[in-house]
Amino acid sequence: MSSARISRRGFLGSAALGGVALAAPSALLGCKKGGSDTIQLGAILGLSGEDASLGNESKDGISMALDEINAAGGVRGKKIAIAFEDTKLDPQLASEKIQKLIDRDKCLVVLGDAGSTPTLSARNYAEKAKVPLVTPSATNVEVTKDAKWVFRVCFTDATQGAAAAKFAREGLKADKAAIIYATGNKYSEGLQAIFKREFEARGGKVVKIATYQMGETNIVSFLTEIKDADPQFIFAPVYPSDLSKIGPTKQQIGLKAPLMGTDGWDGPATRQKGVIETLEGSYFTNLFAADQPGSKAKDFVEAHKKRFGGRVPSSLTACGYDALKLVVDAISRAKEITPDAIRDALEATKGFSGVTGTFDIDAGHNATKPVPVMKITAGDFKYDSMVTL
Amino acid sequence: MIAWLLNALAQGAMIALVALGYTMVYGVLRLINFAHSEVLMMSAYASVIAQTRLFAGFGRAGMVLSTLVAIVVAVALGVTIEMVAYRPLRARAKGASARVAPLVTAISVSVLLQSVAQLAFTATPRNLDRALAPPMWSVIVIAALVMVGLHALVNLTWIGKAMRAVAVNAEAARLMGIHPSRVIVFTFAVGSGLAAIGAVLYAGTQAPIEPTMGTAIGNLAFVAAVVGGIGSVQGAMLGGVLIGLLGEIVKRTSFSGMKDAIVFALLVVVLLVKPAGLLGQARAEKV
Repeated sequence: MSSARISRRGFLGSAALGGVALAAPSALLGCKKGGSDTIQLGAILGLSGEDASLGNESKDGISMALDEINAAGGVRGKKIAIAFEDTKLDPQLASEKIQKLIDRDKCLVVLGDAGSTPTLSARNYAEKAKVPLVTPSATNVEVTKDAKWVFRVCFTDATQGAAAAKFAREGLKADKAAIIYATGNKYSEGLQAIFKREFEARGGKVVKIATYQMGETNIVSFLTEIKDADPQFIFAPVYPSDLSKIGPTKQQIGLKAPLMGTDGWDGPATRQKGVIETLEGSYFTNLFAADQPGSKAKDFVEAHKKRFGGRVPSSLTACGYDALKLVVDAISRAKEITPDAIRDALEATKGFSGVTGTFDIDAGHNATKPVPVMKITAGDFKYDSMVTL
Repeated sequence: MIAWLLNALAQGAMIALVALGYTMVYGVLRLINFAHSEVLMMSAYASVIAQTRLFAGFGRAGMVLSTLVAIVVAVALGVTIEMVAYRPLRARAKGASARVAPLVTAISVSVLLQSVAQLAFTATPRNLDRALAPPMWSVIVIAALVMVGLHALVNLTWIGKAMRAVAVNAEAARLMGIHPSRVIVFTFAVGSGLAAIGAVLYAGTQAPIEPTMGTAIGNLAFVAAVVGGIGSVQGAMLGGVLIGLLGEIVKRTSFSGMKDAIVFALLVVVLLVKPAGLLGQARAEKV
């Protein structure tokens, strides 16, 4: 890439942000003045850029939970306020923005990010500043590994990748699998390694691994190579922006084997006309199944539909919702309202009942729950089965 | 193998179409028009909106009409940027700022257009109907025809001669009765139109349309223009095809995950050997 160009853009970007920061205090002061009756939280989310849908869906969930909590009188007699910061899912921005939220806005807990790469970068500052960071949907194993201050309300990629491998071997009876994934993306890299290990441990064979660089637009040659290897099943742990390149191209070259993706698939980019048709019959593991039988999420789905014009909530929205609900639950259980005490309460979570299921926070700071598999049927995501490891 | 080669050439041809816009504007103005990639992005949106709203039932013919709409939008936008953002600066900026101010303006326009697209069209990607996409071989044919046409335009027509004259020396050209401003507007129009064609081919064959799409192909195209020799029309074509081919070759190896690093390392080597680019001329600066 033309480095001159990028750095100049970066400079301009931060200059513009500086302008926003100068303008912002007047808006923020409003909630800080009432410091005693407001609990200030923050959220770092990728709200713009190529995969902006991820952050915006999480934000929808967080906002829904926020409004419900405050309408019900808040927690411990205090209202909750959340300052949102945009990371563009960029690791560098994520680290800048979490500093801002902790140092400038004095946030007691930070939520975010929607993806693993920026969350890993934000993690360092959360650990250093000793402020809890609760990610709704960063599934990479490293995110909470050995962390004292980082939690997540989702399962890890280790669980998800193993579930995908089990489903491919037992549910689909596949012997030969191919993998397509992106480098430069910890989510994609981590999942493909786990899937390969688990699929081979279960007696399957990975016949082709196609590795492309994140942001690559021309996917044709990779899918052609996979077609030549003739797999029965293709594992594609990718972000939705890549899916809108992979799906149509796969159809164009006549590659028939079903794709199986991961929770990153669940979003409007996948549902786009021109993309969803090409993914008919594909599967993906998900963090949330809105149509799962016996799900406690009915009220949540209805409330979301009412608020967002009939749209069914994505898994990221559900996780964002659960993330804030969990944090508020921890605040209500904490000895006092400090980052320290909230951290202890988060760690002690047992049987928290969220819309993505009832879960504990385990010793590794991960939520323990089974993995729903979705199938793309008639242009929609349908609950297929539940994989328990 | 043939399919692979077609794909590589098509990729190169698309990059080249966009690279031409950078190189032509640089040729006449010595300005890197960073807003060019955003003209490409906006024209892609124009094509998908025209295709879905206006010509939905027209099949391939609808696609051709949508491409025409995209070209019109790109030309209008490119010319507007030149008239509103660049021209006033050329008249007023003096000394060192005469070079830097337009460059900063170019970057600002680029950021502005990306943000406008994000607001107007949201970040959710849109897709051109792949069923209407031109087959791979025709991408190469279309690009080749366009490039031959451009070559003829620059070398055989009066306006082409005027463009070359302004590129060599705008003041002298003015003394010869050429209106540099008109020539510059024409250059922006042609470059933007080519970007629109590139945008439709790109969106139709490989990737969805989104506010940041310009950067993905724009960066490659800009580098293609520099490697080919910025200011040189043939150089931009050569640079584009070279980058397309190199990229596809790297994808066949086990280093495919580091495609850009490898391709750009090779291009650095090219520039070390030929600093002015493959077909660029190292001219002494006039004082």
